[in-house]
Amino acid sequence: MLSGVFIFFSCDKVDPPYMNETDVSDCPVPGFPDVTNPQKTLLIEEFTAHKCIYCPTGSYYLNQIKSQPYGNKVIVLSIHASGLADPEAGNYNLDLRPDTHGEELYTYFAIPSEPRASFNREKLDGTTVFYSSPATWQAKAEQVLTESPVMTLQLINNYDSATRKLCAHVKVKFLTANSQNLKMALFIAEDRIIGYQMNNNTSVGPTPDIPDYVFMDVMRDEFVGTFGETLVSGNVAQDSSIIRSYKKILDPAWNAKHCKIAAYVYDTDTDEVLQAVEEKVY
Amino acid sequence: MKNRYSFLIIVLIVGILGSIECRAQGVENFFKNSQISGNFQFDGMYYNHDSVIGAPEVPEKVLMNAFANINYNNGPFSAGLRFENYLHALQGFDPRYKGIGIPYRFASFEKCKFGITVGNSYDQFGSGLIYRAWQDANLGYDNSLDGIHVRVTPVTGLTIKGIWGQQRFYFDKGPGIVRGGDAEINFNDLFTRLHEKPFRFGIGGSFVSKYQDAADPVYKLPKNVAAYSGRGTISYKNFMINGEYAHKINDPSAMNNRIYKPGNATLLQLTYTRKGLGMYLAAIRTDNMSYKSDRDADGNDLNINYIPSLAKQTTYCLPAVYTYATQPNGEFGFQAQGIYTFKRKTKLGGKYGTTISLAYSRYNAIDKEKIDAVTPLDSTGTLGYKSDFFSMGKEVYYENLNFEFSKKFSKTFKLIVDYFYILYNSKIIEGHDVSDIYSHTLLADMTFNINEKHSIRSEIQHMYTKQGEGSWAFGLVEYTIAPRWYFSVSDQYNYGNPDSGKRIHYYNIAASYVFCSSRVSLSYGRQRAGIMCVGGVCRYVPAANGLTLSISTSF
Repeated sequence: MLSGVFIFFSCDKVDPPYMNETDVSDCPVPGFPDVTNPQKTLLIEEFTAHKCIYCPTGSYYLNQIKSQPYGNKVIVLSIHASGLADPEAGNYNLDLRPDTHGEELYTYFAIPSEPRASFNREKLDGTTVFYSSPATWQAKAEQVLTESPVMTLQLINNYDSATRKLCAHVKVKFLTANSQNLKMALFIAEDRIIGYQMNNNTSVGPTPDIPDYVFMDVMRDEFVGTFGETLVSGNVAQDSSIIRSYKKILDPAWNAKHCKIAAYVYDTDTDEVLQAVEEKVY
Repeated sequence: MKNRYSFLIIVLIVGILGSIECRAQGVENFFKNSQISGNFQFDGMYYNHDSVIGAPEVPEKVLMNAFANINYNNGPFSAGLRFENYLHALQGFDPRYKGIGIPYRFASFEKCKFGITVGNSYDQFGSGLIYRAWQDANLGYDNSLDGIHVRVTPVTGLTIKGIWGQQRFYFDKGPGIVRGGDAEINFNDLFTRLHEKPFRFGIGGSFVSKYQDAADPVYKLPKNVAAYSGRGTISYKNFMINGEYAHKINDPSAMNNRIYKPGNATLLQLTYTRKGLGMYLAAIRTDNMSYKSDRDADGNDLNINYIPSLAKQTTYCLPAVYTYATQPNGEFGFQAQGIYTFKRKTKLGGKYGTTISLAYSRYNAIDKEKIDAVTPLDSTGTLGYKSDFFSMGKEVYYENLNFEFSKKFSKTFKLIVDYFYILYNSKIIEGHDVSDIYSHTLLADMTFNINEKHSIRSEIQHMYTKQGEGSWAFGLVEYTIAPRWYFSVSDQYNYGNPDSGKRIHYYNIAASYVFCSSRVSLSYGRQRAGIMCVGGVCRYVPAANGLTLSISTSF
């Protein structure tokens, strides 16, 4: 009888993902092409929520920024967080929250309300990282894009649709000598998710609900934690380079065709993002 | 070497117990209660290279399988061993059966409601859907559990069993550990007032878990994989219905392309019997139910469970060409069978009675749906597929319709006539990339008793098919001089092979001599390539040409 009790508990139920994501031995590193014209890329992190009536206006201005000639140097990560992002029965049953990572960032940056956006997490006014007033965002984006890059960041994705295994390889090359403590973070985002969005701005859509709202740049999950992993601590010589590989099994609920990976390097002392890169999954 | 030690240990145990017994009861009583029994079988073949049938050159020229069981019994104590010898194994048997050893040995003690076996044991829980350890020498199959086996009957009607050990793997053991328990209650035996009731019922439940270490760099593998089952039996007068449901948790393995979907199996059987009439209905559904103690094993290696076959089995050689092998990864099968004997001295029964039987069985794939829009079916490292329990897949694996007529016309003549229609999905069952095979076989089996000692039995079989190797004809004549001599001549002729160069005769002549409890057989001829199955478990038999000597005896 006692042995029966022992045996009864002798089972290991494995929850997805079924692959070991920390082991990248099955992710052969590809060759990276040379970067001939290094440019600074802007990462805009936007806090938003589907029950936030002001948020469609924020997204409208972000689309305006991405439609500019420099739009290819702009990466947006829309982070659905706070109680306004909680799904509920009925029209607002979509859960666009990136697990707990959105809430962690929301708390860390002490976001008072949505929409809020940061521009490489730079304190453009000397004190604030995340800004309200979407109409002012484009000017802030253009201000950041005038800066020179201190590193290049390249990203190559290899995706196996049969297993939904994604190998993401990132190469960092320092264009100048570095003395900062740096971390690198990677996130997966998904475009073209259709659902209900609350709205109070008739110029961007029907009010009070936009039933077929197209959510873009929705942060889904992280690769190496909410705050990334250490890239370097202290001095690094000019022209040094680092290659890192990561693996993730894409959630079957995500449309891999609409997914993309965003990687960025930031200063752990100031939180400022120094460089960012984004590539589609395939 | 390890097996030699095992043998010595057994002898030592027997000796020690024997000496204890000797002191307690005296030498005379000890030997008086002792019984030794056993059997021996030898099969050897001299192989001729025969390029016509594709029989390969055999470097050793002669190959052999031999084994001997030796069992000792003394009241509640028994012990035994099996000596096996493969130098080298006959073609068609796994070459890992190589060498000499004692891979099976046990000691058992049964007293005061406890039965304990240490060493190798065979047993099954319920229908075997989650645990069956068994052996068939002709099939080259042996998954005995080496460890402990405990059986307790605390009260009449309640039986509890426990197992814990490792499975036999040729002359070694599998890497996994198998633990399990089973409890069965027969209510009519448990309660005195139900003893004589026509309504009888019982229930049972089993739990098995296997452990295998895992250090896979790519996949998160479960080290402990559990399976459980529940079963019930109800009978009333001539009717009996029984069923069992089994469930297995995620078990990514070489057999299922390393998918993580849980498995399940359901077996339902209904029987009705009365004098002269028997009816049987059964259905089985298995879904990802291969359960082995090594996740990397394939074929018949290290099966913990057993999936029973509902396909009609026959010993006649031509319809047996297309025998169903169960598909543990998924199958939906059913069988309906009826047998009726017309009474003697009636118009249809005649002087000695007439028996007719009709059997139909069919196996389909299970329904499989993709887990999402983009992931292909059975993709490694995923749930593999979704399957609606009550939906049958469209692909037919096997279909068998059999009608049999059996009648003894006189004291000297008996006739059996059989018709088989078989649909055989060779791609699924054998992995051959060929179209489905539809065959029709008609055969007659005639026995002429010349006198009390002399008889002649003859088989005439014809199988018509346009697919596979085409049509076959078979003829056999056996002459028996009871009780010692037996002679036979037979020929299988693949006259309908689409390739005229392969229209080959597979002739065979054989003779046997029986004396005491021994039998010596000698045969010469060709053996066609195919699969040989026992209860849905099959092995491939390659083409061969040569002289075969078989010796079997028991004591």
